[in-house]
Amino acid sequence: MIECPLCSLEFEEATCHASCPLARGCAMVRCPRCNYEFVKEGFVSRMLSVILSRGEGSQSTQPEILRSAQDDTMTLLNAEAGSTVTVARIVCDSTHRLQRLASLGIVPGVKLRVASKRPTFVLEFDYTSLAIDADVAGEIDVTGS
Amino acid sequence: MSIADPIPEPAAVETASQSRKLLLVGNPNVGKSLLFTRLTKRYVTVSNYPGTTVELTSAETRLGDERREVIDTPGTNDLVPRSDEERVTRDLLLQGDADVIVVGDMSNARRALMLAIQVSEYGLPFILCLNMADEARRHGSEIDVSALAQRIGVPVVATSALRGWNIERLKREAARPRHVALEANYGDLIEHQIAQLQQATNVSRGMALAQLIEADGNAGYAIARARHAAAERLLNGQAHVVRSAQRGWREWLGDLAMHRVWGHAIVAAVLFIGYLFVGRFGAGVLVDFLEETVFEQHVNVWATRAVDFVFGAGFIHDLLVGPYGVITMALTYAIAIVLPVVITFFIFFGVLEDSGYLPRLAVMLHRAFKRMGLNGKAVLPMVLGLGCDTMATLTTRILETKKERVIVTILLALGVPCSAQLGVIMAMLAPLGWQGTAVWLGITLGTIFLVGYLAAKLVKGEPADFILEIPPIRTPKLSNILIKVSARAEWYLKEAVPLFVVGTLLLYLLDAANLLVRLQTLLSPLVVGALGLPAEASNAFVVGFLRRDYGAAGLFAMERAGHLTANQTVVALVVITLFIPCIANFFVMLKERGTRAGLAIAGFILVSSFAAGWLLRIALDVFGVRLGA
Repeated sequence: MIECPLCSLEFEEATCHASCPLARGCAMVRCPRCNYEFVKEGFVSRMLSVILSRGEGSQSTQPEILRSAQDDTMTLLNAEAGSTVTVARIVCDSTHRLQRLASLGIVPGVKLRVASKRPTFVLEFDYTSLAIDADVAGEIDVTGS
Repeated sequence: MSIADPIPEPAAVETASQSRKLLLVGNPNVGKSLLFTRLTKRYVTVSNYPGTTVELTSAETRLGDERREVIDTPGTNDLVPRSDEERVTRDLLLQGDADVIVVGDMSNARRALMLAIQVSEYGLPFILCLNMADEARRHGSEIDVSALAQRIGVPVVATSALRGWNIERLKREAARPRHVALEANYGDLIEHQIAQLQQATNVSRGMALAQLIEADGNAGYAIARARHAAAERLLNGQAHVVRSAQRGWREWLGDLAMHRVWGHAIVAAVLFIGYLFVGRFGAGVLVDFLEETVFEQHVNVWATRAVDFVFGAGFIHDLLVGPYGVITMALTYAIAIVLPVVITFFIFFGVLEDSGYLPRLAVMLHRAFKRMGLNGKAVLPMVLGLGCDTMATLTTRILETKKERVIVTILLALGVPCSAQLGVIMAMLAPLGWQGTAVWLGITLGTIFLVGYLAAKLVKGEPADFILEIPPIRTPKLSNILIKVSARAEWYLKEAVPLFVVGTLLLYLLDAANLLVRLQTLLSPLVVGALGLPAEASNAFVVGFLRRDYGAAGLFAMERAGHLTANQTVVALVVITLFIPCIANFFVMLKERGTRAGLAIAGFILVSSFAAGWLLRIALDVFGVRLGA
């Protein structure tokens, strides 16, 4: 599922690709509702966002265009160790992983304390400590309080 | 002691007077197995392990005047079947002839309620048991169970299985479970789909939801969120204690064990303590006493005399007390050499397990494991492999994906020496000094890592997510550890000893038919030509297939007799370390991974162990390295 960063519509596939002559290898996606164009994924854009975020300290590794449309959210990767954050959303292709996180209690709105980030992420909420891989942490968008 | 009783067919449950079954359904790590023990007064091992909660355990209990069959099910956070174990739990719920005790941790009551909601959706009567009430009281997250019971409409009992709190009350309440509809609000779209499914197939709401989740993962996520919100409403603001707010010495120690710097120091300290206890005390003091004093001076002497007296010399004599005799070789080996090592290892392992250290070790090793297509959860079988590879191969069942199970099976068989073998290896390394030890360790670890890395690329399938709950650090209870050690020792005696006997018989027959000598001749080009070892080293590799440590012991004898140079010793050690662990492990590999995959793994290991030795020999020759000089 792809979520439009502007109007939040969730849609299945890049429908704009079906008729577009430049669709092959195109990483851009156009929202069928509001026509906003944004980066879904692509090697260059991902590398660029990693490089950009490296220089900006606590910035997100999400593509810049996504973040500009999405206020103050960041991925857990960029939350500081020791800080308390609130889950904003989980951006994940694997529904199995989503369900697994939800059944453990990680759903939007839940407050988490980032106990540590290395060697792996350790999150605390309620009376639960959960270790998760950085790949999973990168899919959890949070806000800073 | 009863572990892993099979689930009886409904018709066969005569002893429980045809009454409804009582299912224990609960989240993982909430002390459910211990609660089962308390309820049924029968001991089972408490943790996830082959033969315990991974398989179903059942026993009888008395509720009032009635005898009821209690079934312990694998821990789960939701009833969507993703693994075989979860499917069994779901099927038991679907049979509909059971009452349920939903078990959760009082400090994580929300998760227990999410499970309770699902049980109620299956239309089964249930009660809620919030266990670990002692811990909740200690850190101030105790819940008002009577208020919760009123909101839910079923009895809620606060228990501590560890301390035996409220067990009788739980039994009383379990005799009168209620059927309530704890329905979460799933929204119009999903409710519509549920209604359609129920209409079309005449199934319970729970079953319709399960079908919906299996068919559409996104619906599954929405459903899980709705259940989370419903559980939150039922809790009504109770139980929001954050663990980080509770900072005692246990929390401090728990954090330190996962610290990016100190965590590694603790790993090293734990390994060293393990070495002292298992390697020095178990494999040293206890084995010396049992082998040299008890068996060599008494048991074997008496057995030989008794057999001589009854059967005289001949076939039966050789079979029982000859050089490859069942008593003199198989039993001596199993009971005098391996059992003490197994027992000391499992005491050590039990302490690690019950203290909550193993998940923290998984956190520390996760990154290295990730490169081998695994994740930190593979720590459990890999550490267990240092005790017994055969047992560890069985525990690969706890891993989620087939890919992980295959990779761990390969790595265990290839490069994780069991404690018995490790003892012999240590003794052989001692005269070689640090250089020889470094070469052996470097080649072994390097091969494990290289094979793991390649296997991660070659073995098909996806690696599982690393999402692991870290339990609080707990003070292990000696009685629990001893119960577990005895269950595992019993398992070892039942499962491994017969294989020792079979292996010894095989060796006896090979020897009797003069095939052992032929095999050695056949192997000698490889051993002498490629590895540059004396011809007699072939013997070690032949017996090494039956037990890797037998082989190592043979090489040790050669080293002590001065038949091996330091270079040859290291080459021989590398080959025997990377060899197939033992025939028992080989059979278990065939059983667990299937005949084809098992044979392929064994073949691969055989080739790669000799290849590693051959390459090492060439490298040592080319660079003119003379170890121990």
